[in-house]
Amino acid sequence: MEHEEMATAEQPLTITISQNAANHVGAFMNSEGKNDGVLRVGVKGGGCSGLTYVLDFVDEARETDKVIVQNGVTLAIDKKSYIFLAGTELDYSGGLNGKGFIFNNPNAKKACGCGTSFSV
Amino acid sequence: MSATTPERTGPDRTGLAALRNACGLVACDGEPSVGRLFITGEDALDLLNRLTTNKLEQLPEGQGSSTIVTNADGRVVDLLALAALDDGIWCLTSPGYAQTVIDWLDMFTFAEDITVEDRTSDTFHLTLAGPTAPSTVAAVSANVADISLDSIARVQIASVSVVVWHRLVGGAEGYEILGNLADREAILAALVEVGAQLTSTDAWETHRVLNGMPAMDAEFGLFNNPLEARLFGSISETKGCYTGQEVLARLQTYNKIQRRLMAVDLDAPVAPGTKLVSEDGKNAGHITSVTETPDGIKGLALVATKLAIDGAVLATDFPGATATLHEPAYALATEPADA
Repeated sequence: MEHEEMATAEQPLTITISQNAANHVGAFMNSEGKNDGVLRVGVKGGGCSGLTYVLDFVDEARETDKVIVQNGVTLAIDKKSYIFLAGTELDYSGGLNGKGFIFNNPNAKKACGCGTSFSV
Repeated sequence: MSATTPERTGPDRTGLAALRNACGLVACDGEPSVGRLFITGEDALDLLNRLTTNKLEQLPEGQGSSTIVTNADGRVVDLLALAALDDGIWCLTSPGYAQTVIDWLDMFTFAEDITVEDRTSDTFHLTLAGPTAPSTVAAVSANVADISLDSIARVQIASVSVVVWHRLVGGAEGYEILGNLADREAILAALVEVGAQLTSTDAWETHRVLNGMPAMDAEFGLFNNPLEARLFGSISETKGCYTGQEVLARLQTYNKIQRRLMAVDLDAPVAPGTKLVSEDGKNAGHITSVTETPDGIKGLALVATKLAIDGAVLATDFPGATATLHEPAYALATEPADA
């Protein structure tokens, strides 16, 4: 029984981007004329819960970044942010009441009311 | 001449008299000492603004501000005094909290351009307070008269370059002087020569309590939020998000602040931690600081908000001792009228 629980906990931790989110990233990149760009995904200090998500288009990844290519999007994550984001799925909620890009972060133990900041 | 801090041999009445009626000089050479950090980098203010309670988007050169580092639960990590010079920001922490603040800023630094240098061990820190403090510092440096409250400037004292910071210190107007450790004796001697009176840290503690100025680990800390300590003067209600903001905003909006800092007159020398007891025998808070003064035993207390009424008398769990509550001067001077 203990072995089974450990096996579950050892699932590889990476960052994923849903097809829906990838489509919207592609559309935004198009509109900004950065078709060959990279989506920088990160974290910065601040926000009600201590840490805030950051999304940005950059020309290229840094040497020290963790780079993930999925659903046609290249993600670049700095090492320190990766510690807080490992296991996160980047999704997109559209429509009139949609929230835009959503971070489904298993490390977040607490989030603020508006959902843009979290603590671990 | 060599100037040293007087040893304590009972209540330092002379030192207290200097701080209240003339110009007291505190050498701040005890341990733990006030942390002195020098912060540089393009993103320094932005990061401090995101992590602390006061509005710091702009801190023009020569200006100072106090702000509170709060955690995600709105609890106090430390109260900071910040002031900007042309080459960086001076940051004073609570005594012994330099490394805590450095570690906290480091934890939340990702891609920001910020460098935090601990200058505690290679700088000195002197504090001047009392009604004649302005004329005393003006006597050693003509330029000091131009330094308004919450301002900082580099000036020459005894041919030595130091930083003079005019701010509310120990709960009342005063001056902090920072400089290189090697110049400490020369600056001390120059100040004493023009009438500054060296006072003990015990006299300074009494001065703080009489002014109603809350202190780290006594009136605030990780055990409570800064609203209980009535540090409203260091909290912006309009700046938007910072770590802990949501919790503090909710406590204020729904009147859920559980305790309120009050000054107390005590009729027995009770120890900090002594419990306050309501008429119906319930816990009404506790004494946080106690000091002996020529006018009796005074203190500060965190009191259950509903019972924190000016003039009210509460029993304590120390046999026979009671506490008479008063509004603390520092809170009255710094908090908004509707707090």
